[in-house]
This record gives sequence, structure tokens and C-alpha cells, in this order.
Amino acid sequence: MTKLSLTINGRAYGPVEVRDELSMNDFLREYLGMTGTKFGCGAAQCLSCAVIVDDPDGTSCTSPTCIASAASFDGKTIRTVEGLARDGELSELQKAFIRHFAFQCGYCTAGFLNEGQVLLERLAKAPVKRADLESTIAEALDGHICRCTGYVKYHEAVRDVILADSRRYLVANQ
Amino acid sequence: MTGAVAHSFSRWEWSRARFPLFGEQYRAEIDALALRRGNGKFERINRVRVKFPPTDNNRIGTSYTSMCGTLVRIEIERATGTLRIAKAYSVFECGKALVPEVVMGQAQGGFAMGVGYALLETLPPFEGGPGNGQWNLGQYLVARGSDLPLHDLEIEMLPPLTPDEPPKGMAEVVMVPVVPAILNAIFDATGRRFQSLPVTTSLLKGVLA
Repeated sequence: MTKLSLTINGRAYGPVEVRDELSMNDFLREYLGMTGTKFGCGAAQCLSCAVIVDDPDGTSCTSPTCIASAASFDGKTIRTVEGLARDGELSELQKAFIRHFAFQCGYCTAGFLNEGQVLLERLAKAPVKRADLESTIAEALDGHICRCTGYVKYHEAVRDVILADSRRYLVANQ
Repeated sequence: MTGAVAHSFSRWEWSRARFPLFGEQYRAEIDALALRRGNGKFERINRVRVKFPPTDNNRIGTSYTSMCGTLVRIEIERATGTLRIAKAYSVFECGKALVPEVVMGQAQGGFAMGVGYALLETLPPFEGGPGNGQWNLGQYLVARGSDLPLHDLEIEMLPPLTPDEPPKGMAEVVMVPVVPAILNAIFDATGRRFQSLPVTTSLLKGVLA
């Protein structure tokens, strides 16, 4: 057993005793009832289970939760899809996904939202050239598998959010 | 009026009938109707002029087909056999699209599935195949974004053949022509006809060596 304390969507959880082999995915879904994070392949290949990990140095990345133990998240600060909306208002990316009909079954959506959110925050700090935008999005989202809409609408939605606020996300005047 | 029970029948279109109601002819795509007043029993409203869809509609293969065609432009790296789809175009007709955005999403997803079928997805039988229960998405490869021409995939949805054409199924047809299009492009590029799927990078490298 391990004593687990962590911060999820700005709220402190724990300390709570968890079995060493309990996966982070089970902890979120079964212990906390946060079922927005999905369980897909169970082998970190599809990333439908990815959450955002906020590192103390100010950077963020996504992490699969299916093959990671809950204990390995001790002391960490994470965000899940439940934390993306603010005061009941969906994030720009969530709105864009809906506007574009980006998802159909929705199973991969939380993973794409988290990956896209990390990309937006990264570009806000380190903008890219307009000419590199498509390849930047493609590279960022490539770990995620979608079997309904063939990725096109997800990419278009992310690109729209970036182009709608290009002064924030893109290098000016190239 | 406290209750209504209706019956209808579908053979790719609904049965239709008229019912004398409140001094008028009520027309609907149903063939039986019963109404209840207050706490009373349901009473059948005798229909007039019932019309059932023709049995000929059962031949859906000839009367209810969505058509799709695909063109692809591919590039194969001679040294490695790596195939890239540089550009693609699919065109289809599916009658009246109820939610065009969803139809287009299906068509884009169908393109991705066709690419997987042609180039990536392999399910060998017997020992060592997925039947051993050990396979996952690391071994059974499906198309990812990087396998697709995400920004050069043009899909055209044609208007219905006739103004009153009903919606038709299209979820699967959009993947079908993708496979022969890719195989034909490979033949055009390499002079080689492949007879089994998937055509993997190593198979392509083999015919280019």
C-alpha cells in the first residue's frame, strides 16, 4: 500500500491509501468517479486515457493513465477533461470540437482535448511560424487513435482555435 | 384524448394511410391507429386508402445503393518502401444527408479505415495471430493521423439524385474504394499487382529492390 496525495483540477486529494498495483485509470474512474478519462487499449497505444500533468517548472505534458500506477502520481498536479471548462463554460478547444463535429463516438475525445490543450499552452509560450502550423499539430496529436472521424476534424478544430488567436500562438510577421 | 397507439411498417419507406378524424382525413406514415378518450378503452380508427411500400424495395442492392469513388496520389521512397499518400479525393452520393457534418466525418473516418485495410492492418490466422489473445494496438496497426493526407483529403458529397430521394446508408461504402485506389496507385508506381493485404512497407521495399 502507498499513501497517495495529489492535486486534480486544482483540488487536493488524499492522503489516501492505495494498492501499489492500482492503475491511475482505475483510481480516477472507480475511486473518484471521474469517468471523463477513458480506458482504451490498456497498453498506452491509443492515449484515450491521457491526462495533463503540470510540472513544477511550469511545463505540461500528457500522460497515459492505463499503464501507470496511481502511486506514481503521488505529489503530482494533474488536469483531467472534467477540469477544462471554467465556471460552466467550455474551453475554446471544447467549443471548437463541438462546432466542427470533431468526434462521433467520443471515446478518444478526452485524450485529444488534453493533448490539444497542452499544445495550445505550449504555443502560447513558444509560438511557431504559420508555415509550420499543420506539421506542429500533426506531430502533437499523432499519438492518439480515432476510429470514427479520421482525425481531419480534430486537426481543423485545433487549427481554427490557433488561427482565431494567431497573435497569441503564431510568430508575428513572417 | 388521453392516448394513441399507432402501427407502421417499413420496407425502406413507411406504409401510409388515411384515418377519418374529427371530420377530416388524417394522413400519416402509419397503417393502424387507435385512440383513447378519458379512461375509456382504446378504439380502433378504421383506416382508408392504406398503401404499403412495394416488395420490389427489398432488392436494396439495386434500389438503395450509395456510391463512392476514390482517387489517390502516392509517393513511394525507393530506398525504404515508405509510402506516403500525397493527395486524395473521394466522391459519394447518399441521398438526403440528415446531418451533413456527421456524414462528412464518417467519410473522413472511412478514408482512414481504408488506408489501414490497404497498408497496415493484418490479422493472420493460427498460432501467433491475434487469436492468441496477446495482440494490442502496438501490433495490430491502425491508421494514425500521420498515415493520412489530413490537409489534402478532399471529399465531395454529391446532392441527392432526385429531390425526394430518402437518406441512404453510407458509413461503410466510403472506405471501400480507398483500397483499390491505393492498390492501383501502387501498380502504377511499381508495375507490381499485389494480391493480398496489407501491402506493407517491407513488401514495397521488396519489389523496388
